[in-house]
Amino acid sequence: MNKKTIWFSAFRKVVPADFEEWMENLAKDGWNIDKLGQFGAFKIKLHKTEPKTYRYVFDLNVCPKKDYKHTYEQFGWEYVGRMSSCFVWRKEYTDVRPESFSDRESLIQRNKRLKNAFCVILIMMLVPIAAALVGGSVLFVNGDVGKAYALIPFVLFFAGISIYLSWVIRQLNKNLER
Amino acid sequence: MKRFIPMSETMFYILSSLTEERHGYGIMLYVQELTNGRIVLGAGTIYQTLSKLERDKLIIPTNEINRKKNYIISNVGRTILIREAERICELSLIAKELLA
Repeated sequence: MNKKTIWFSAFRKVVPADFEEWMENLAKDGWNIDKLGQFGAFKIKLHKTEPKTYRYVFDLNVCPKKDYKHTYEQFGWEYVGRMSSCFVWRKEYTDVRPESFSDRESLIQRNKRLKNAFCVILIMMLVPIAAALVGGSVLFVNGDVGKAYALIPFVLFFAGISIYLSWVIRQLNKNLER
Repeated sequence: MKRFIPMSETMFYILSSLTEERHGYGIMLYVQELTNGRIVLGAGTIYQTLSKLERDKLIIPTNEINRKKNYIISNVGRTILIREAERICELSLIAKELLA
């Protein structure tokens, strides 16, 4: 077995530091990635290589400036790819584990950017739930019970996503300094 | 101005390194040398701080050579840097008195 596929990794390793450590441990075991695609959050394809000591960095940047990639490359980081707006970088090292966010403030800022992005998505999920609840109540009051019940799966779907997003935000909040 | 004072150590070093025109990697080398290797700024930290300083007009991009974007401190940035330097001097004086 020289290849393996891992599903939904970014949905399970939601804290950037955990995702980085997980990727680094895989590299130590000789499982590496060539390129991370847009759908890397859903599916990561790894192939067997010799064990590598990599430092991985996860960096959310919704609107990166023209010099973003070049700044990282100047510092010796290799571009692995991006999942939506999340950039993944790596650097092979032998001695001290290199840092991209070298002080506490910038590390917190990196994690806050991710947390804020999830907060925005959560709000976007709560809006249809609220609309469905209001609409459902109106239908119920007007005696259209069948249509009101038809909204339940819709509400449950968005509620499920909202519960997951709340859990992600809580995890990120607990790990802001990592 | 109050938003920037007190300034983080990283921001202070980055801003003071831009009293001369420099690019991101050059800033890292300068700060590393200035602090005898104590502070090694990372790419993410530099990019993030430069973006913030540029957005708030404390630094100005000057030119781009070989995809390296150079910056220099603005007049506003210099005023804030001097205020912060004065604050640190005051602190240093008090600290020295405590140790005397």
